Amino acid sequence: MQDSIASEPESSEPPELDPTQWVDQHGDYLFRYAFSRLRDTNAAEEVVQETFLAGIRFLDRYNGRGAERAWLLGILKRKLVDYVRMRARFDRDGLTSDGGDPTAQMFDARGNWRAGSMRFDLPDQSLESQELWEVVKGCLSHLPQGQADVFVLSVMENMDSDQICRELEITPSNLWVRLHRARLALARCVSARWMQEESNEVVENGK
Amino acid sequence: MASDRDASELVSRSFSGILTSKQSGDLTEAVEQSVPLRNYAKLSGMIQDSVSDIAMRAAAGDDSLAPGLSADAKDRMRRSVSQEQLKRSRSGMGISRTLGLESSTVADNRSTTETGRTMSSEFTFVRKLGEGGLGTVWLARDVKLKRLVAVKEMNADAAEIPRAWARFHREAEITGHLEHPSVVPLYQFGTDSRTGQPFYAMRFVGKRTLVNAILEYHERLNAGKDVSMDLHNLLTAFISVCQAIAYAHSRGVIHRDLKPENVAIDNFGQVIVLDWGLAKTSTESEMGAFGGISGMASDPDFGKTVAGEVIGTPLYMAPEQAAGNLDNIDERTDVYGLGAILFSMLTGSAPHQASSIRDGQPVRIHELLKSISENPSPSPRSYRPNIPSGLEAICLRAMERHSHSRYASAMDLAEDVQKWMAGRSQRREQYDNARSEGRELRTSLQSSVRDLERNVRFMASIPPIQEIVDGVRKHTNVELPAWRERLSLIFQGLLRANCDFSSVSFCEVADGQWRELVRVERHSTDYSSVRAIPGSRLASGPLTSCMQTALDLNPEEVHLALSADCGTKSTGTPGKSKPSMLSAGVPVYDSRTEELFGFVRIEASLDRLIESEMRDRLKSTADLVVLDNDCSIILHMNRTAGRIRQSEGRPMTEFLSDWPEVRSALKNSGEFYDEHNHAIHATRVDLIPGRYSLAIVQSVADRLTPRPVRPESCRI
Repeated sequence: MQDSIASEPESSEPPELDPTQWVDQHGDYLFRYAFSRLRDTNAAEEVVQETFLAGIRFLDRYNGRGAERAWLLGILKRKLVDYVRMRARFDRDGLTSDGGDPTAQMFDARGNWRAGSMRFDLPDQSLESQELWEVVKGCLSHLPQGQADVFVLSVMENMDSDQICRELEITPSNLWVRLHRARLALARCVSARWMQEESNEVVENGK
Repeated sequence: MASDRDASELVSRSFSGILTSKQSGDLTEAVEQSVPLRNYAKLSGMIQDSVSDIAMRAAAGDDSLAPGLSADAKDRMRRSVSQEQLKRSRSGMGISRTLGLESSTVADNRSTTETGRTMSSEFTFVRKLGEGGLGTVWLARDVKLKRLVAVKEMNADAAEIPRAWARFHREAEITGHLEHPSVVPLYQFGTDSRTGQPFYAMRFVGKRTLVNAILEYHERLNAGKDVSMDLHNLLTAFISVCQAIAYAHSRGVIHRDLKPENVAIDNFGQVIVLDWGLAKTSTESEMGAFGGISGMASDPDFGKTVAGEVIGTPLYMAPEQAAGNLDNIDERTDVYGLGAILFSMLTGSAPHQASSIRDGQPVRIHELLKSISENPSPSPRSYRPNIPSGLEAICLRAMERHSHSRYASAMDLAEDVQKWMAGRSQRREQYDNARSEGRELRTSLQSSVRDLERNVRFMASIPPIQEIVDGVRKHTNVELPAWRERLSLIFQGLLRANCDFSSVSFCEVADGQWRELVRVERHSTDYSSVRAIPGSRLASGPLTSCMQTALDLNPEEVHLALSADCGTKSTGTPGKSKPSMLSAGVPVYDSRTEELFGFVRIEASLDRLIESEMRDRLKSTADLVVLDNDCSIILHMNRTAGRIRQSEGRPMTEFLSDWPEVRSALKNSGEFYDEHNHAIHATRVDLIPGRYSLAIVQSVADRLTPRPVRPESCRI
């Protein structure tokens, strides 16, 4: 029919994927994504490698609807959660406790702010995100793993609390305690580091 | 709102948007009333935005966030991808044929004459996993159960020797009788119906052993990475090995060849003790428990044969084994072997590695055995100095030369390692808190110095300063005494509000001389008393180079120096030669002529500045010490005893034997982090960049008490 406005029917065959090109085409992208979540080069490499291997195993499930990279990213996200769960299982301390509790250092016995615990100059609002991220990243690496992981899954991966509890096999109240402690410890650490960096800048300028 | 803590929880919850309207109202009110809460909410918001932004940028492929994969990692991944592809393609064609390996089928047919029935199993070999003198281990597929197994097949040559055949049988029987999660489970023993050679099938546990885990741990350790979890995992595996050996002992079996190569770790972290080929049963009665084993251990030749074979791996051997005292071999021989495994975990080397080489050449076996049997056991710290002392003590006790001095059982050894781990976990938490407190203290001290700078800058800019300049220069007809009185009152207010400040003065400079116009100072012993110095007592003198440096600055630029360097009148403790005052000066210009007029200077007592920051800081620390630039103690505080004045002025070397190592870390990186013992933490505070630093040293567990040493020159 010459005057038809209907689009050509799509081929029912999904496009052929070529795993030999994956490392070069998507390796860096997936690695950066994984590294931003796991903060550990070895862990990020392991997860990317697992993603590629799983991609090969599940090649037949690729239906061709999305881009190849998006399909691999979907697998990577799953592998990230698996990795965090495995890490939590091996970290027995992480299973039995929430790790460090900053509240005792920030609040007195009556629950009031300790003098000086929130005494800091806030970073400039116009601060470069990259600059603040460098500070936050450093602080995340000093959080107990159990706190850092739930914070990352919640804020970076946008997982809801039910999902996180299910994946990490923790109770909702435990999740909230971890998230709150993570936020308190991060605020305390970022402000301390920020002041430290400012002091260092003063030192450098003084030279 | 019940408390600030409750309010901070609401702030945290608000980021997930699950507040009720009442909670939301309470929070708004609390945020309006509390500055710290407002700061916390704002900062948490900025952190949340920053993290979300990075998450989105990573998803969008922003390559400025981090470097990509290393070339090595890419190579490794390409290899893995191609191997996986190859494997997938083979799976469709049949493993044994496409792998091109020697394909063999082991079938076990047994018939019982009573019933005439025959039972058979079939295994298809996939690839060879390893080979020894007695047999070859294959990865094989159980055809009927469709699972991968490891099959140990006796070598054709060895099968000709009756004693070797019996030993092979005995190894299988001992392994088969030990039913424990950390002993490899044996599925079947039989003979190949085609060749008649004996074999046994067991669970396939992979090829990763403790050797791999130890190598990885030491690689990461040498690369300076955080290895606390790696050590934790290694010790957890070690405890599992101890428990497996304790179980074997309870069944009367002694392994006799414990070494990292004989401990497999599967993909899920399960530890499996392998190779019970040299094991012996300890008593005749327990031999009976094994039913089918026919007196092999009582065969005198058997022991000799075993002794001859273990010589092949003497690097982990106990002295009584090396001496050939077979009668003395008992459970404590395995305790030594466990200690040797712990030794290799801690050092990355086998215990007798050093003895096996002399002048760069391997020594003869009999010389090595003699050395092992006659010399004391090696110390882990002689291989690697930074090993935690508690773990070294455990290792040394397990490896005592005389077996009666070792742990009585493998469980006692495991228990001590568990206790050490539990103590370390608690100590680590305490240490991390102390580290965090030390950093906070550093930040607070630096923040106090910035306060000092801000105050002196402000004092130089207030109107009475210019009025006095006008009066002295006679630009206008001002009442000079009245303005000096006003400035004096402001200076007194400043000192009363800042108890760390010792004096504040305004000086005129002319013809290479300085002259005080107004000076207010704190009484040297009664700190609460602040006094204005009368005109007749105001000081003057020639300009020092330090003052000149301050005067060379532009308006509002602050010069920081030690009072001793700046030649000022110090109100520090008499008799102490060390600098105890920090001086901040800012130049003052005549606003009419724009010429330099003089300077305003504030002096702060270092001692008081530090002590005021110390209050309420001793939470995670037993002792806290602040050192000045020449490593002598300015302040020493103990959690229970309070301030210890006897220590003040003494060198740190008297209190800490490892001080040179700590000082070196402070000089190079500004922090000493004791990752092995979690005992001492130190951080550097740069008060005057490049010229004057303090050090904060915290001892987490032990009191710092003086010990006699020779004096040593030192500078942080």
